[in-house]
Formats: sequence, structure tokens, C-alpha cells
Amino acid sequence: MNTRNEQNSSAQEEPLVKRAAEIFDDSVQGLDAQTRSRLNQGRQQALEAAASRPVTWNVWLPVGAAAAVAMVTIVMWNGVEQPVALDAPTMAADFEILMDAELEQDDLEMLEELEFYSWLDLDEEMNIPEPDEHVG
Amino acid sequence: MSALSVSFAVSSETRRDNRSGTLQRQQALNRFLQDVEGRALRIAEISLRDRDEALDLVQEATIKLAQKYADRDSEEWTPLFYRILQNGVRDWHRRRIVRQRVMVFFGRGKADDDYDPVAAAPDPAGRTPEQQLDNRAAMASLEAALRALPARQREAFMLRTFEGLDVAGTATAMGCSGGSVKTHYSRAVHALRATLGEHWQ
Repeated sequence: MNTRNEQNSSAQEEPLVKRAAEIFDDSVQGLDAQTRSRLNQGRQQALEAAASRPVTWNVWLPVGAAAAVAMVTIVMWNGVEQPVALDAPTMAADFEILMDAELEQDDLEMLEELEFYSWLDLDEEMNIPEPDEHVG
Repeated sequence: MSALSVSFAVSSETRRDNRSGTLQRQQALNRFLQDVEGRALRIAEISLRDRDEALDLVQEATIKLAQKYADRDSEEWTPLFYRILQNGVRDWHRRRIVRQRVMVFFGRGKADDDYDPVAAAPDPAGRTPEQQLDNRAAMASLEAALRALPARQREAFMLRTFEGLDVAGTATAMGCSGGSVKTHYSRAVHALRATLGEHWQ
């Protein structure tokens, strides 16, 4: 954006413009210490004000994403053993269950231990012996 | 690793990246403001003829830019900053006109000619006394000639000449078209040449 060397429309204008820019720059360089100090203070206040702006949406985005992942995990827990397509009525019923304020405490604990129960199921499947396998 | 753990790990890394990016942007904003504030002060002072008032306006513009536009591309900061500043200058002039009319109405209006640009001019650094006197006198003449211009011509000339904004940036700062900028600027140069005369050839 800054184009201090940009040429103006005609050579006749250039000396005036160049001279004006020179003496203006000279006046900026000659600002006294008190003025510079006030400018510095104002700048620091502005930067502090900008740094203390309220938290923006992108900080809450990961939290929201984590909550969404947790919800999807809970919803899909019902279909771990068989690949069952999640249809709208099934998902709606699951959400209704989750939102049920009278959900029993033990049911809540079970929901919290989803990973453990999934692993348990998987481990049981793997340890079921084949009919002709020698055990012992 | 569960889906929840993965999501929290990703969000933690995102927060670290956000903090690093925010710090870099603050540093860039600080450098920009350090560079522009002196010129902005002098430009405002030429319009207002009062350094304290100009300092207040520059600080207000600085705060607004930092609070509202720090997230914009840094290329936009200069025209945005001067847009805010020029709006402040115009508001200041409107309030001054209203104040003067009220004072005149109540018979307490006073002459507004006691501003001495030479006496108020800052002491330049690194110049011989003769050069200082020449530059200060030249700046005083230039300031007087600029204040005699219509406001839009003065804005266009100062933004283009003193800040070095191109036509597009000046148009953004002034809130007008590029064609208008060229017109205002051209008329300003002609008027200044006619006013300042042979001293500036």
C-alpha cells in the first residue's frame, strides 16, 4: 500500500510533492520526547485492550467437537456387534434415552464405561475356543 | 486411544497454535503502530491545529484498530487506521463548529487566529540551525496552505504524499472511489502550487 516512490501525474508536480514529503518527514523525525512518550503509552494501552478481548468462538470449537464425538460414540454403541445402519428413528430413540431425566444411576455408569464394555465384548469373542481346539 | 482423547489432543494443539499466532499478530500490530503513529499525529495535527487533540484522536484510532481490525490482513491496517482517524477528525470539526456557533450565539465567540504554527512546530533533530529554520518555516507555510484547502483535497494530498498510500488505499481511507481520490489530489496539488508559488519549484 505504501508507495513513497510512486510517481505523480506530471513532472511539474513532483518538486512540490517531493519537497512537501521531505519537510513533513523532517517534522515527524523532530517530534519531542514527551510526544513520543505519549504515543508509546497510547499504543501500549491499545495493545493491552486488544489482548484482553473476550474469548472468541474458535476456543470453544474443540470443546464442542469433543461433545459431538462423545454423543456419536454413545449413539453408535448400540450397533457395535452387527453393522446396523443408524436410521433416524433409532438415533432419535437413543437421544430420547439419553435425555431422559429419570435415567437410572446404574445405566449412567454403564454409559460412562462404554469403552470397557466394548473391549470386554471383543475379548470374549476372541477367547471363545473353536470346537476342535485343544484346551488345557 | 479413544475418540475423546484424540479430540482433546487435537484441541490442545490447536490452542497452542492459536496462542502462537496471536502473539505474532500482536507483535506485527505493535510494529505497524510504531511506524505509523508519528505520521498520523502530524497529519491529524495539521487538520486540528492542536497537538493534544491530535494525540487523543490518534490514540482513539489506535485502540479501535487494535480492538476491531487486528485480525484483518496486515495490508489493510494502514487504510483502515486512517479511515478511523479521518472519521475522528471530521467529528472533531463538526463538534468545533457547533461549539463555536453556540459560543457566538451567547456572545462569547473568540477569534480562532491565535495559533502560531512556527512556535508550535517541533524541533527537528540532526539539522543545522539554518536548515531547521528553513524547514520549520517551510512546514509552517505548507500547513497554512493545506488548511486553506477543502477538507477532501487536504485528506487526499496528505494520505498520498505524507503516508504514501496509493490510490486504492487512499480511497479506502477516505471512503470514496479511486476516481474521486485522483480528482481531489490533482486539485490539491494545483491549489498548493498556486498558493506556495515559486518557493516550491
